[in-house]
Amino acid sequence: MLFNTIDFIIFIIVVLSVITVLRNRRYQHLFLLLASYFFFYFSSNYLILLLIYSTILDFYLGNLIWKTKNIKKKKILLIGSLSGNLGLLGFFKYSDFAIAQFNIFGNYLDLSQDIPLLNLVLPIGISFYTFQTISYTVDIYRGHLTPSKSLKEFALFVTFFPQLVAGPIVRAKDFLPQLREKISEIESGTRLRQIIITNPNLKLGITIMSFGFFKKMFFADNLAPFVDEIFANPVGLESFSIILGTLAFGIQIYGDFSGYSDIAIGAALILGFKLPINFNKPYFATSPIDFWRRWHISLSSWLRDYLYIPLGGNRKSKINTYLNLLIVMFLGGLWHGASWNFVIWGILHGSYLAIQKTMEDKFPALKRMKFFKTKLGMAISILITQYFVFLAWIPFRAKDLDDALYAMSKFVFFDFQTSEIITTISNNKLVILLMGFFIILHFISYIKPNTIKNISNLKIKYWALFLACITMLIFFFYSGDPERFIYFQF
Amino acid sequence: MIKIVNENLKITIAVLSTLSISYLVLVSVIIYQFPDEDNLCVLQTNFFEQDFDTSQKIILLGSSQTARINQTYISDYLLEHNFNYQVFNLANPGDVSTERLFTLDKTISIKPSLVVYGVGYWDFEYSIIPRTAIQKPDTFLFEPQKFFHQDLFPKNQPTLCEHGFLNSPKGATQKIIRDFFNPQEEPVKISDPHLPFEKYTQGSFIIRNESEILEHPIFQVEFRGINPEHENIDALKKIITKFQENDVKVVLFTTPYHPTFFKELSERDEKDFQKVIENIQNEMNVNVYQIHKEYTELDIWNDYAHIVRGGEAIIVTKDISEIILKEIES
Repeated sequence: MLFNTIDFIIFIIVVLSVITVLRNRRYQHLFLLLASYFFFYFSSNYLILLLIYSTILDFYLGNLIWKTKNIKKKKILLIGSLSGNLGLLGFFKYSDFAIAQFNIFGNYLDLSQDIPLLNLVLPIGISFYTFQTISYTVDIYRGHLTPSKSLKEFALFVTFFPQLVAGPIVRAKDFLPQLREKISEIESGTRLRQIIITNPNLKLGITIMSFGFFKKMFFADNLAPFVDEIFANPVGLESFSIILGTLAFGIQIYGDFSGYSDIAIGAALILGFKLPINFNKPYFATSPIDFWRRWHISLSSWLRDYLYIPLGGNRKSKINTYLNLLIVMFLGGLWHGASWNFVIWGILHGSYLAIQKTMEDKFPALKRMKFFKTKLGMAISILITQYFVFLAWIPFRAKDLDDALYAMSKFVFFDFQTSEIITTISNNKLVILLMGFFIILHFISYIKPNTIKNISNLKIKYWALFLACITMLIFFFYSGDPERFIYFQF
Repeated sequence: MIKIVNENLKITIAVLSTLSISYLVLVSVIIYQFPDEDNLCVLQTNFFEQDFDTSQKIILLGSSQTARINQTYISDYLLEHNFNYQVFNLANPGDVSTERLFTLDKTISIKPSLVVYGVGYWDFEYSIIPRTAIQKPDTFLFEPQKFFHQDLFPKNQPTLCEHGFLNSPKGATQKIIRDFFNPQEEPVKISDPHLPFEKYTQGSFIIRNESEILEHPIFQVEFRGINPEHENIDALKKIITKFQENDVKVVLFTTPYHPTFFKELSERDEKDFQKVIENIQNEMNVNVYQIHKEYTELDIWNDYAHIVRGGEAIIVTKDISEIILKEIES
């Protein structure tokens, strides 16, 4: 079910109404679980079986890992969980890609016959829920988490509808305690929590959701046609158009994905659940490392905790650290999709991180330089970082490698076709205005990080006025066809 | 608890009022700014409400590509061959068979003898780029999405004509902004009672060369590929079946495209398009005249998917006239 459709609006109204009417906490939790399954079944149909499989597999393996004292046995059970989840992910997401590569290699060797592609449907959300369930069993294995008390509770953690199809990737240790009554700041009781829709949560949740809809439907969806136009056939375009298209895509994907995350976080908050933030003004990052602390935070922290650190992190030699960064980002790229474009994107980011690490190791004084703490220094750091971040967006968006290489060369080597610049600007005034408006708002949210909270604390009449402004902008710029969220394909 | 519920109720009312007021503002601005004289629904209502005489009729259906076929020429051509038919070109810009279903009964009520339906690549194009499309699994299980959208609340022709811009307010907003900064005189629109759903301008008579075609905004829109399971395929089959059940003969023709389109078209899309056409032809037992590549060498193009009106482009109408003659003689 898409968030930006009337289906979802009706769905959330029904869910909130039933939760309000139901008083029995057990029924509330059961209803939420069933509603989440319905949310998934609505667009995925029988593929819900994969979700159920993943849930059951990890619930029981998690319990067995916890109960087993023998380290060897624990390891075998963990491998069972990992292969069960990654096998599923690999089969549905990468088998056709692997077959295609094998066929290319076969043609190179003059093998007579191609292996036919399986043409499997990619189950929505599989990359997200498999990562969630993997973190569950790994955390139990590491002794960081006690298993969930019941299958129902664990199933709700895996399927909780706001974050089910595109994150944020929630950890069990953050979510499961929220299903229980709180005894103290760090401890939860054994009774299920009654789900009460409180006024501050409702108001803040709606405010966050409205920002999400605004980012998605006003910015991302209105920039999408321009981005599609540029990347449909970039070969032959001059540098300025490529740069403009790349900037527009960077804003589009941020609006699209962080908009989705905001809607998810807001919807969960209305129900009293806190999901981790996924974006924190990424286009104000001052370095590649900083960027990954601000972009898709739930994925980058997952990759750090469950891949980078187990690989050795920065505990071994420097070469190993750089290699680990490259491996993690290569796999992070591949996680986005079975395509070399994503691999290049991942490797580029891996290289950025490795280069930054090398610079910090070679020139430790650089990090402490006062200049980089000044406004000018920060601005320069931001500009340099974003130049490379946006360069990497090109392979992420381009159709194929040829397009990507051409566009990247035009992005790096400006061709000074100045006569085209004026034409491009005059043909795309609205797009440029939108981008300018986005940059202003992004800047405001950077210097005033509590804006959303402050808006939700406004008196109801002012708050409603704010909502009306946002809604009108969305309505007046609605193209008539709800665009899919880009991250649904991952 | 009561306090919480009351407060929540206030918030809910505020949100609902906000949505309603915003929508009202949108409707008011659009209706005030754009009097809806070109609304397709209004044009359709006016056309179908007239009294038709008992003469034999031929109807052309399709999108803007079919609208470039000259119905008067066909009528005259048939008359030269001693067939007296009124020819109506009911094509309209952006038409797809799912939308055409809404006026199917009204079209049948005119009692046409022959329906000539133009279909092209655009009719079966993915609505979004496949890479970002959500693939739907084939299933025999209950499909709630289908149930809600097709069975419980089927898309019906609205009884009251909705303002065209309300379906896509962005177009109206852009126009308001454009007109505000750069007011321009609207080109004069020409209408023809036998081409009731499309008003055209002098711009549709301009022949463009290849480089102009490549620069035309319509070419900049990426073709998103053929969807072999497009809902328009089923809708088209429904339309053909209903016509056949009412003893109306149907023939299909594939609409012409400029060579630049075929350069961009992938082999897979070409194959998929052929499969779709063959499937319709075999399953519905209709003749399909494939003329989409027949005119690639000629200088008759307004843009990469539209021939110009009049001039040399009359050759396409001539070929359609011959097809029609062949069909009514058979």
